[in-house]
Amino acid sequence: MFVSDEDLMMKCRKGDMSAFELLVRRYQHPLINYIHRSINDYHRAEDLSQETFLRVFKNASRYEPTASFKSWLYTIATNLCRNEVRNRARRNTCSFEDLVEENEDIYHTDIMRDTRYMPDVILEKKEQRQIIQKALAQLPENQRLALTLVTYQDLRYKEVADILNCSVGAVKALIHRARQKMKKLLIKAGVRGSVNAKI
Amino acid sequence: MQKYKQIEVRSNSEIAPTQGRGEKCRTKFASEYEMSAYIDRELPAWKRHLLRRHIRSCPGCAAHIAQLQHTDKFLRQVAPVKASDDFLTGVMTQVSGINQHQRQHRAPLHRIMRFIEASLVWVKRNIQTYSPVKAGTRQARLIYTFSLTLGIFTMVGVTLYAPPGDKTYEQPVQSFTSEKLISFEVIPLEQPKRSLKTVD
Ligand SMILES: [Zn+2]
Repeated sequence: MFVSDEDLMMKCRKGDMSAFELLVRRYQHPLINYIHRSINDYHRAEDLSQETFLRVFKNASRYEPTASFKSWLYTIATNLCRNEVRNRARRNTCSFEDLVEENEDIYHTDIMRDTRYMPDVILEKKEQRQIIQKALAQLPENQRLALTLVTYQDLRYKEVADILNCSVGAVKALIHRARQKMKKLLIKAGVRGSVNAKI
Repeated sequence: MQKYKQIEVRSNSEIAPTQGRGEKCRTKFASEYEMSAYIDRELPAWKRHLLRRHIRSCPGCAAHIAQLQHTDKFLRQVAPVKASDDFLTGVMTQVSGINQHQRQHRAPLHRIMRFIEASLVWVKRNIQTYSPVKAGTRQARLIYTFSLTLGIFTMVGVTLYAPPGDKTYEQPVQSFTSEKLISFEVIPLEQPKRSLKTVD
């Protein structure tokens, strides 16, 4: 039987640890994925995901079932991402645009383990990933967050508006501008298939 | 899997001639931003229907939407990352630590509440028998109950939250930075407002 996130959260409020564990199981991969796309560093993304879940647990008593759990979770994560980017800029140690080289086994894909795929396919995938990650990094913060939430987390505009604390109209504008800019950046990076559609 | 090709960098207009929707298009019902909302299925049904009909007759808008769709498709091709195998265990270990701490923190509060509850019952039961206030008026009883409860509260408070007499060592030692050392205030000596005069 499927139990909704909100019901699990209500159980968690009463101290049910297994309900909380189920929530972590449900959201661990999507959350790391979101934070990774937003801050461009897998290891920090894991730390921040952990911090997000800890905050959810600590503030469980404040959670009201009227709000969607998913939006609440992503709001906490978004605030942590914003702080991380701000702190990094302040420390001036590593720029957001710097690509962090990552191990292949952090990716959720069977293609890497499938021996039928030739190394050049894997290389092509890796190259594609780096181009996209680099282009995403060049978007203004809100555009990047909105596009990531819609494209990779499959959230509705209303949910994104709640998370980014803006109107649905503003989300529409952010998404459109982000896609337009991505299109230009991908062309600049030499990617043709993404933008030149066959009509 | 949609293939993509690396090409030599050329001017944008050469590669993608249609940047926005068609120059000549004067569609009023859908703004530029709503083109993206259309591909995300975020438009109301009536607007979606109108835009779909418009696209059939407007090559500029059709090309624009197709490009947005392809950009979206290309972005979605990236494999998602996954959490490491010990992520869940790590979170649950930390959470149980917090849980234990919260329980310990809450315990004295619960004890106080139970103590107050019991003392109030006790006060209520004995008030009539042992009340020194003879009159037995409602007001006098209230005053007596209030002062008795206050006394109990003070006793409990003093027992559980002792004054920080032996906790002074926990206070952080103030570090004297150069900034703090040089910022002192000069208090000018005040002239006495009235001076005593001796009268010869
Ligand atoms: Zn048109």
